[in-house]
Amino acid sequence: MIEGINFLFGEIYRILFVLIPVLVSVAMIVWFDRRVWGLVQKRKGPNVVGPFGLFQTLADALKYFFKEIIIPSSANKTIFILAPIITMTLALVAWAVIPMSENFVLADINVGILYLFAISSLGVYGIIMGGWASNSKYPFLGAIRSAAQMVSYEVSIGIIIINVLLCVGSLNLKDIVMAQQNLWFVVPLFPMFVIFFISALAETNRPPFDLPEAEAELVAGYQTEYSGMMYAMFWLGEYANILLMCALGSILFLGGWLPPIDIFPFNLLPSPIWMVLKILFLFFLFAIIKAIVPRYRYDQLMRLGWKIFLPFSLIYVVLTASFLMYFDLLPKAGAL
Amino acid sequence: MNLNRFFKTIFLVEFAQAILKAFKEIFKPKKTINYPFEKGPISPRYRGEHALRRYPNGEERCIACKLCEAVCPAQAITIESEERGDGSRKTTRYDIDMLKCIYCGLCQESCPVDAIVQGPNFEFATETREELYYNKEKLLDNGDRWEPVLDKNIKLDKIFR
Amino acid sequence: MYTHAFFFYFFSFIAIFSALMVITSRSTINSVFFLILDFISVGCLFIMVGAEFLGMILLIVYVGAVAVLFLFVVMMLNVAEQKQSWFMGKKSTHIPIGLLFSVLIFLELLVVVGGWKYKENLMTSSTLNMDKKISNTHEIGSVMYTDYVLYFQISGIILLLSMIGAIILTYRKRENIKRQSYFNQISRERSSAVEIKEVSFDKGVKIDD
Repeated sequence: MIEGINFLFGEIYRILFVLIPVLVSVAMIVWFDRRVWGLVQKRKGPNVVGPFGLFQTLADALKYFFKEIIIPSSANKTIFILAPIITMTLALVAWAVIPMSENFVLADINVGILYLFAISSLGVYGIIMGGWASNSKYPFLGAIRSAAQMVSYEVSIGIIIINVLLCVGSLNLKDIVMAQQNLWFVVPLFPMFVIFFISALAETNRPPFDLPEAEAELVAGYQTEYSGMMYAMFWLGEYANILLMCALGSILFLGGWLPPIDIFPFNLLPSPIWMVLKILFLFFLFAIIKAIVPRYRYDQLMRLGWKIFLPFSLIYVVLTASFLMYFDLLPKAGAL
Repeated sequence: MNLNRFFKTIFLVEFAQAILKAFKEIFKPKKTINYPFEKGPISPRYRGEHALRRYPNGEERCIACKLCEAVCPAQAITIESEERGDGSRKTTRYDIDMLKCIYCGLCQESCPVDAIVQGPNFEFATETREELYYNKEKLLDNGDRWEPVLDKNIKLDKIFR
Repeated sequence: MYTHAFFFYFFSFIAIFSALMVITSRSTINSVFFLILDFISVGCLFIMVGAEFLGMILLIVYVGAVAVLFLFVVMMLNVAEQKQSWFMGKKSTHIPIGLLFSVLIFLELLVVVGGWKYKENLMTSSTLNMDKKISNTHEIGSVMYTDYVLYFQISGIILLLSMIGAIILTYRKRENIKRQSYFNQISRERSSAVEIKEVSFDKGVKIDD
């Protein structure tokens, strides 16, 4: 009995050790996002609360916390309340398998990449449930848009992941990183990296693919009827998802926690810091793109996903496979 | 099909250029003003909060001619007047409903003695409606507080009238 | 061991409960949500017995894509309003047919469950060689692409054909509509679109010639 309790608390301690940094970095990343967005547009961005405005997000969260939660009378209450909870839970649950260094990972499971992919494909439910349960037109339209958008871009992300897996021969995230010791996959698979990045933008509903919450047409999309802490949970979940996509991108293509070159000045930094730096670099690109691009129209978005990305990444799968086959570079079964 | 254009599209050349451009913008000087601490320049003609001015000897300028009351398009001004002990005509009541006022500046234009003016102050938001029904004391108080600026602004603007 | 048993019963209870709720709940949307819950708990059960690849694929394919489309259709068609009137009405032909099918499926289940008794015999008769060292992802892959590659390819072709069929059934060619050519739109450049002209005073300039 005592052992069981010890085990339980040990696990909870480990989980908190991952969750709290993620939540804090989500708060920081929102500030970073707004700051970069502002700087590109020759504004200053939030700079009042705390040093450089670092505590702006905390202040915002506090404000949301004290605001009233309004549930529309015609809403389906259970699903309405469930939707933000699902969004946030899924965004946080996925962090369990992200390896920050060789030993620093919560759950080192065999099918890590599939787990991540499954969790991110579940992410659409938060949005679609919220949109439907609000029982109002704008949220519903936003939910429908996002459902179609996320399902479409998941397909191309899946095929891009296949490209990487062909070179690795394992579904374990650690193995994927360790396979990049000599050469990061961003070099041989550069086109895939670009497509992955753009699909990640679409998957996380970031501009230029933020159609589910297009404020010009849909007020705020699926978030329209939400208020207070429930809105904040959507918001946190969204940013945790963006961070997750950045982490996935750095694991798949940028060599995870590995330093660029394994020689003196670079391998001084501990490996989690390299990982954080890579995530930050990808997020910086996310933020800068938010500032420079106009929003896609819906048919353009679908066309890009199905008619360009999907065939292109399929062709690249064939190319990668035949290249590996011809030069006999395919990873052997059970080698890793 | 333009081959150059085709390659530009496929290799996202313009996209990369846009990112580079945005990256350069980050380091350029910013246009933001830290508002409560820094303020932008205001024209001498700026039509902000109203004020009733006095002569340098402390006598109020207003002679209760009621031109401003007549010209006010929003009918925000109410004036009542009486003969004072020394035989001069002075207002007993000078109210401006700042909620009705449209800040058109016609009262200022119509005033023959430059008594009612609109000053440079735009930060007079209040928490209740009642505080925005200005009476004579409030307006005179405004005049006393802003007199140096008001005087300077009127002098600066004189050459254009 | 107890934890394993606890989680097993936990997930199976949820799976059975939500499966029951799928067919008994009054609103169609709730049915679909319970179906999703069912998929998820069955996926967890798969993972618990060590078939993590199957469990994850179940989550990705069924929950991530198929159930979304279910939800999509149910939401768009507004079937929630029908409230399953046939279930309440007296004269209905659905119930006998439904009963017949449920009895059939129940018999099938009996066969499957009964077959479990003879698992040892079945296992020895099968040609599969289980190797514990190789992860079951590798195992599924090596079986699927060697022994059963033909069936795998055939099922793929059947799916492709059905997709093409569905597209052909719903496709209609529309005449006399203007379509955009994205490539033409984005290939306009400043040099081909803008021309700077000297305009002499009070004369104006003639365009389009």
